[in-house]
Amino acid sequence: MSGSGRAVAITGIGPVTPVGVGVAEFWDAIAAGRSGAGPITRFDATDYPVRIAAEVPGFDPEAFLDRKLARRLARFSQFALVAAELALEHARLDPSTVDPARVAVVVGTGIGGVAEWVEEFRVLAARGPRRVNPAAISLAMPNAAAAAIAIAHGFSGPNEATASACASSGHAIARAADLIRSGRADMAIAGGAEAAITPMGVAAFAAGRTLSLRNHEPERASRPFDTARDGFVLAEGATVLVLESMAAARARQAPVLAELLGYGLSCDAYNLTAPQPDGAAALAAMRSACEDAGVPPSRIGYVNAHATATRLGDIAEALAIRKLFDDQPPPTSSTKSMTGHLIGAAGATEAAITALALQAGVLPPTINYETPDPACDLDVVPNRARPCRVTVGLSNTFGFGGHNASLVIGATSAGPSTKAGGSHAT
Amino acid sequence: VTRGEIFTRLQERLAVEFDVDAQQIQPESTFAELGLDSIDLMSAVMDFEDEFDLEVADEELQGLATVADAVDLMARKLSVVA
Repeated sequence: MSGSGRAVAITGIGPVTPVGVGVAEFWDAIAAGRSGAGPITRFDATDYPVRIAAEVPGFDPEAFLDRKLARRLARFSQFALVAAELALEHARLDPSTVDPARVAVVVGTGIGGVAEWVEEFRVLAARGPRRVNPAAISLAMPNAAAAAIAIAHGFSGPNEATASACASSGHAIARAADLIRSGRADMAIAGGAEAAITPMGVAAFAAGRTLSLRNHEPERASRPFDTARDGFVLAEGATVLVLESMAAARARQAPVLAELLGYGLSCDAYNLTAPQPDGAAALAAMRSACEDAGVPPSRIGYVNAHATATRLGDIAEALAIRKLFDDQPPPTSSTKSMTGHLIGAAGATEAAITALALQAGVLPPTINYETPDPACDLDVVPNRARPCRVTVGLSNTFGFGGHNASLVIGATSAGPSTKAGGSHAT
Repeated sequence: VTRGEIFTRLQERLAVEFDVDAQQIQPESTFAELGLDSIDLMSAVMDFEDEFDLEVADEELQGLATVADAVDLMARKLSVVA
């Protein structure tokens, strides 16, 4: 399956994240090492064990979207739709100039409209079945985000949602790549969205003992690979990418930001929440991604790790990364130290960061990396961004259920052929 | 309440809830013309059930096409004499 001619162009990035909305603000924050975490403001969390999260500050859907449409969408879909608008703008793609039947939309989410569903349950419990919102299903369904993007622009190509918990948008990008590579679509709007900073979302993640309890210093709470890590910081938002066949991108003289060279998928087949301790399946996903890209691991100069700052997850991933690179791992960062964990939007957010890092020649930091955990023996880019020209990066995204998705992303013209400028000729 | 009051309240409610220009909402306007789909209509009916403390059966919604149809239905339920 490896070989040339399979690269997919990344031509637009639309981030709606705790550290920035739109590429400029987003990348500035990532390169500067700014945290998006703070006290929870979405609801009164006084009585919750976890009172911190990474919220999208001041998000006003009506500033971007038609009011009526915004009100019919759950918060995760609002994030996705705004992210798609930003991505299309970034790609300089006027939707009216393309054949809408050739545009696919694939947007993943971990839990979809959980907040809205719980709200309707309150109505049901208090006032009975006749008072439940007739739009409850279409608000809560996980595919609403993908549908809303299609409706907004008339994109009538293949359309679906992927669901693999925290790996959902890694799978969305992989699926979108398939649709383009197989010729079923010329372009795909692909990414993920999540809005789980709700009473139920926070209570449930906290009950599972997955979240950091560092309530007194939220900006220092997300500490991947650090000995003092105690869980992740729940984040919300969406990131959507515009992907195109190289031919489609060239035909419309689109700005190619980076190239999706390949992906690999696997499952731990081990436990619903705990990672396989030796990271064997994660390693298989990374190897498979390299094979699909036609790129040997030795050419990978940067890893954007999944590392959420849980004790077991970070160690298993570090072991897998060391094995992939024969104990010579390239610079690695976990940008969740800044963004928090966007769950179903994590994979697309980090694919975007990897693409932007290659484009800028700057490797983003892992902030709060103060006491390296010897069990995570990696070249972690600590605390400050590192200027470094890299042509190929690897972005990992793993989810509850043991789902693993790894993406290999290349700087423009860093494809399988090492001949300068010749990477897409065949 | 009078029939006129029902119309005014419906007009206000639709304008606010569904972002429709109030001037556009006339007795002869169809819900389709106002950009309302069946889910919107159901939501509006539920609001009215709450506001006037009445129940509208699904069968009564059959054939409801215009604002005047809705006013008629409400007036009937509230036993408003024309």
